[in-house]
Amino acid sequence: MRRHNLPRAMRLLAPTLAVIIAGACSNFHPTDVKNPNLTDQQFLNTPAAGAAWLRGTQRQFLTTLNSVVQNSELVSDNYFNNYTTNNQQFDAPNILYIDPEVTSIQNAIARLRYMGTFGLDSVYPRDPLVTVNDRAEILYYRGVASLWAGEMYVGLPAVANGEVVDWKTHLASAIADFQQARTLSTDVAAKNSYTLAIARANYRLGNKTLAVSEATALLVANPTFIRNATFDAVNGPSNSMQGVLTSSVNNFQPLPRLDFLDPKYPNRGTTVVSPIAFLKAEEAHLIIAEGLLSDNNLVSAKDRLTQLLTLVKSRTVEAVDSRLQLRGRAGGKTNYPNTADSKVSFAVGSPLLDGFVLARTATTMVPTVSGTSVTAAQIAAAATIDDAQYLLYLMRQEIFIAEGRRMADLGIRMPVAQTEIIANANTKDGATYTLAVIPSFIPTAFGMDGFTYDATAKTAIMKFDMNRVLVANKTASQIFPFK
Amino acid sequence: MEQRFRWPLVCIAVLAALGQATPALAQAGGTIVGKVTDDRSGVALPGAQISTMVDTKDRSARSDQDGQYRLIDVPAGSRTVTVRMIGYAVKTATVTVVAGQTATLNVALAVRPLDLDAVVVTGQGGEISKRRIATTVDVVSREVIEASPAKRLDELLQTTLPGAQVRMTSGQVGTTSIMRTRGVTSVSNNSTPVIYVDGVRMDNLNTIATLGMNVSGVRAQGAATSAIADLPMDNIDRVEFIPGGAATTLYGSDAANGVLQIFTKRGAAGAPKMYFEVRDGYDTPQTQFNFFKATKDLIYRNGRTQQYSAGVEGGTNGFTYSLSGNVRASETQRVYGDNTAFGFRSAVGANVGNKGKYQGSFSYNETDTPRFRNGNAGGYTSLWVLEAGRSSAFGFNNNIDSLNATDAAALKTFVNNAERLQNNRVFTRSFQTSQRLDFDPFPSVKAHVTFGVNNRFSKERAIVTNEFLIATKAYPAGTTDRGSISNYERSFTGFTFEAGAQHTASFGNDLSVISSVGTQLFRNDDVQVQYTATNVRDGQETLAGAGVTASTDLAYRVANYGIYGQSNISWREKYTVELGVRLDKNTAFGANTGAQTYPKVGLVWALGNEDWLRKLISEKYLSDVRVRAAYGVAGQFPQPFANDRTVAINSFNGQQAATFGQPGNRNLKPERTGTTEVGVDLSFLQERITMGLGYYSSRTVDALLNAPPSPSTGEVSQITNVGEIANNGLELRATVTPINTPNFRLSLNASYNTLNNKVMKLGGTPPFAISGYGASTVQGMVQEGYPVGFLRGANAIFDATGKITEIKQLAYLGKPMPDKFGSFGAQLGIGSRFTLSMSADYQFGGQTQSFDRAFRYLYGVAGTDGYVPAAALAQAPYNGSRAAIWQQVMNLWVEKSDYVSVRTITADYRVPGKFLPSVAKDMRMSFSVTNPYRWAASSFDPETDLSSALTQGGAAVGGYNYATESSPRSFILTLRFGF
Repeated sequence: MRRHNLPRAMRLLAPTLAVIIAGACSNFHPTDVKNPNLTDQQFLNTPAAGAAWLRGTQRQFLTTLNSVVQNSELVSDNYFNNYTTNNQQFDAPNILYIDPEVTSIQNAIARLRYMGTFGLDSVYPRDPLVTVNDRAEILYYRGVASLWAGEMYVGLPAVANGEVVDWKTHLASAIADFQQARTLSTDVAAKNSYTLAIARANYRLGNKTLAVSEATALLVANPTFIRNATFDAVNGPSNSMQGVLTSSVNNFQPLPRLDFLDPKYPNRGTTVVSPIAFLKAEEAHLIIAEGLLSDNNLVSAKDRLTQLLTLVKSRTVEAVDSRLQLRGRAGGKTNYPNTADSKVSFAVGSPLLDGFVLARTATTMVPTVSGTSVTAAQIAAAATIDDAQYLLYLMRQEIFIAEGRRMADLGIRMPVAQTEIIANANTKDGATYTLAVIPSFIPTAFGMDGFTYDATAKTAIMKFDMNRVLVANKTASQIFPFK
Repeated sequence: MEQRFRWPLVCIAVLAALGQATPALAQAGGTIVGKVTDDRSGVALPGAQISTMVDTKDRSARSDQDGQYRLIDVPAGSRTVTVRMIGYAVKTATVTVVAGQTATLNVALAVRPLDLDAVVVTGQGGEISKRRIATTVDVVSREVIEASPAKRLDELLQTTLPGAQVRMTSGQVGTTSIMRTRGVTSVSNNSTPVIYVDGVRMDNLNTIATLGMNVSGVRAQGAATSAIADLPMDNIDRVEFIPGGAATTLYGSDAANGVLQIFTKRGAAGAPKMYFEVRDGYDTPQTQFNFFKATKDLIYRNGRTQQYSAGVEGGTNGFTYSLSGNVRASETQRVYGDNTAFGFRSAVGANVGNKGKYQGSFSYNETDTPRFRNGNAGGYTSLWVLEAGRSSAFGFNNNIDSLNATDAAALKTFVNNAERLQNNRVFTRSFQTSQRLDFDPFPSVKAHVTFGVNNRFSKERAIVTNEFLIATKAYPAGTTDRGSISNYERSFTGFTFEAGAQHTASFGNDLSVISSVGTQLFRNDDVQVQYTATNVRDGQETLAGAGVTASTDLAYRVANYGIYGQSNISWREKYTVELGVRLDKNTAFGANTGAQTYPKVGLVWALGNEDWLRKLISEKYLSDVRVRAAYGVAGQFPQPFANDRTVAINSFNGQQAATFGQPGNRNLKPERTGTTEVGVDLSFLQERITMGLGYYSSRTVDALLNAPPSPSTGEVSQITNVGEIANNGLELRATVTPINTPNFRLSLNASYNTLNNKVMKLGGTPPFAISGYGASTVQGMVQEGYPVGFLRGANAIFDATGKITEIKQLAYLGKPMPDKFGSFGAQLGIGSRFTLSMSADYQFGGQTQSFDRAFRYLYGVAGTDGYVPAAALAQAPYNGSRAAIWQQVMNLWVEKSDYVSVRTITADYRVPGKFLPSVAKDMRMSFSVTNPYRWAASSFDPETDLSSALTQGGAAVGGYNYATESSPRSFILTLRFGF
């Protein structure tokens, strides 16, 4: 190849140009890329990070609550999944550890717990603005995570990738957090909620004395106590149970004998979402009454149930535009009775009763905190412990409907998810915790949601009266915590 | 996180490469002129390359508009002139040049289907003959593109890329498709190839955007807007495609799925040549797969399509130009489906000094398209309501073919209102510019710099009025506060810069070495905004005055930059060795990940040039044979910002709420796909039969998995490089020309590809879904030992009486990816003016799940009793309940997705000059039918199986038949006048 001799000027000019160009280029950075999102270190160094983290934890509580409520309601006899979205297997109930929802609920619970721990260990220590009440609240939310783990699961790891610990240990952790929160807090209303939460955890553990004493303390402090879970209509999370109860396709259809309680969470427009009464004084009465019945104190138990009835009757009943809830109008999988003259029977051979199915109008009256079909006369007529226990569990079911409580009352527990088994070396496939607990007295194959409906005669006869089934099996270890 | 590159060094390197230009001495000699034409039609061929060797270097020129060329300063003597043109056989001829005089040499070129001598550039760092390349390169010529009635690029490629599979997964205009070659190399990234136009990287998003309109329920699983759909289709000169592997190594971390490069027309020297083209026709629905006859009249129509294009090109020896524009208005097959598009493109070329050339192009286009509810949007979704029996939910008898006149009229009114009141529109606007400077500082060195920008803006807007909600029975009459407006805007800006040089050296007459070096950078900024309003008064189209408004935004930014080098060493063009390497960095890599190295090596043995072979078989029988083998690595970079650990701030009751964002991954790196390929190219009987036989085997390591964490961590999914995916298959293609007489020419082509895809390792992560619905219905899964996206659900086993004996939950039900696929076609030329052509594609060995069929059963449509054995339905615990059984027999809803689809039939005629007015130079008239015939093994259209990528840029393999319409059948008459 020929060599080309560069002119002398070029020999001088080229390096000069190179320097100039290099300088110019160094001021342009086409490869600079900045992440517009906040890294964790950036966040921890911002002022008032603790308050933002607490709100994030509250928000996570709502997200987890949505997941817990919707799925456990499906598992129970409360609702039939009349649409094709939401988990179909849970409705049967058929709960396998491979089910994505078993994983997602477990993840949501762990995330709430982890948010509490990270807030206490990493965020709060750097933020001087954090108050004792903030500390109490985040302890409370972490306690709720343990409460759900203890109420819903066979067992779960208590720390990331830890060994599986049984449900009782989770409830004990919940109680410890709630107690610490109550000790720290100066907020009276918050302290009451911690008290009721302690009673609830002790109830499930079967600690009758503690449960009853805490429940009694709550009723002394505030006999009409409610701690609502309040959602965000605009940016979410919204109340997902409200969504499935009020959508035009009637995703969740209540068992016809519970129709009068629906929709518990009415659609209130675009800026307001119905809250969920996460903790309410009714629970204290139910705990105390169940304690009395387990002590064979029928008279006091009936008195307690009557007090409970008074409280329930005092709760809000609202006129709801329920025209979209014409059962079966949206062509679901099963047709439901949808007129006020329909009669329901709680089980084959039981009497046909009026008043359980509502006419769906623009002003349907529905209880939005607590409601029950049980009357003072029924309570007065209860002649045996079993009769009273039946009424108590019917009231528990009706009062707590759409709050995600029934699955635990039925003695059903979810297994540790397969995802956990695969990714967590401290767990073992084939262990008992990989199987759900579904007591043998629970009907499968949609039996709990089953009923026969005669559209001409307008009669709906339930296949099973699950509260009768529970009472008949009350000695089973999975149910009736107070033995 | 910020990452920086030693950018100034690149600047200096470019400067150094370009600064070498020095004037060369002109040589005295003669001139060769002539005209290049098609040997059958006699039509002039612009853009052909005419070259002759002068002092071991090429002297070349390109033919102008009229096929004319001029080679100047050719030394006197007997000269061999070579003429090359994509799609035609190379021709050489000898001419005697006398100093100071002009010699004439006219050349007529013959069409050549498997063109080994074509010069390609994509993936090579510079121009190089296909003969010297060890990997597959497909070229779609201008002739093929102009003759195609395709409205969008992927539609064009359906039958023109023999090794690719392209499926339009929804008939709605402007929606995503599935494009893939050589299987699926990633479960986190989409298989759509990277697309360049004139060297500038384009937006190739062929999935949903993260913020986007939802008219499909599970949003991705339906008609989502695709950036591929609005790539400008006019004025394309040719398309080059290289599949992932050694061919794409020089593209580094961006090219595991292959690279598709579009070259636009630059104009050729000559007097201004204008054209005007009219396309007029109509779309009609493919109704063969409809369950009900009534569906056709309720939502479909024969919709007219008109498109007008015009252009001009020309220039002088030193300056060329090309300008074109088009406008289209289409009613489409859907009632209320009117859509419009327009665009224009310009290009100029100019000599810069006597060693340089500038080429610039610019394009702009807009589309405006409606979108209809589909997939599992629920509520009123026309095809679900009509075809899947859901009309019962709205108070109709769902056997819609047997309605009495009153009910039929009521249904028609209901459907028409619902269709009319849907107001979902997609508006796109994009421009692209490419600026390229070529310098040949020495006869042996060619250098170039290319830079350009692509900007694509899309706006999706869904207006849901109270009137619509009341009409579709979602809210009661009198509702005024449920209207909503949802806007989604995405702005993609891609900047591309490339500088490179190619050096050609010959050592004696035997050894030649072509080496290239270069640097490339691209940067993508993808900014998305969502702003929505609820409680909107009907008629309002802006957010002003709405009861509640909300907004959010996000940004993805990534820069990728690297250097490459390649050497192609050939001994007499018999034995060629290719060696190449690319070093790459990317801002999406984790902090602990350094520059990535992608090597390649290729070997070519041109057996046809061996004397010993020629002694055995004459060229008359075995015209050419070539054996090739290559190994190369290409990558796929992770989603931007997935490397950083973040805290997410959410708006919550008017305040900030902080939570864990993504866990982050400091070790994040690209997926690396190593591909080994071997092949033989054969031609027989003087190219009457040409064949390409190939086999590839690829292994993707460090595959990115968006794997679920163990739930006890409470974390969200984080992508990590822990997977391994294998693909292998045969790639066979053949072209046969059984008849080639002056009056008739018949050419047949076919391709056959096989595909074995398997996930080899998941690195300890549990199986996860990349598509589908709930676990209790069907999901597309990623699991070790199975193909990507296989269908999983309940598999019921029946005994001889039809009773269910066992149900395997979460079982394998099939796989959407076929085992075999390909295309075929025929072209018949009668005389020199008439051509009849047909193209088709097919697939075998895949499966698709049909929700439409399942729902028909669930909703008790007449004639569906046999879908599930009666004995199974009767047995406990189902006891006659379709609701209880339909999800336990998901295997019954899965069908074979085999199909053979004739895509186009086109008759093309060049009208003789004597019939034309004096102003027109030529006229071409063609009539084509698209989708005239489809055979399918399934009860539904197996092509329309949703794109199913759940995330932006995510993997998609399809597999669901769910309330989505097929592509239309179109009849189009095209008249093209040349002036």
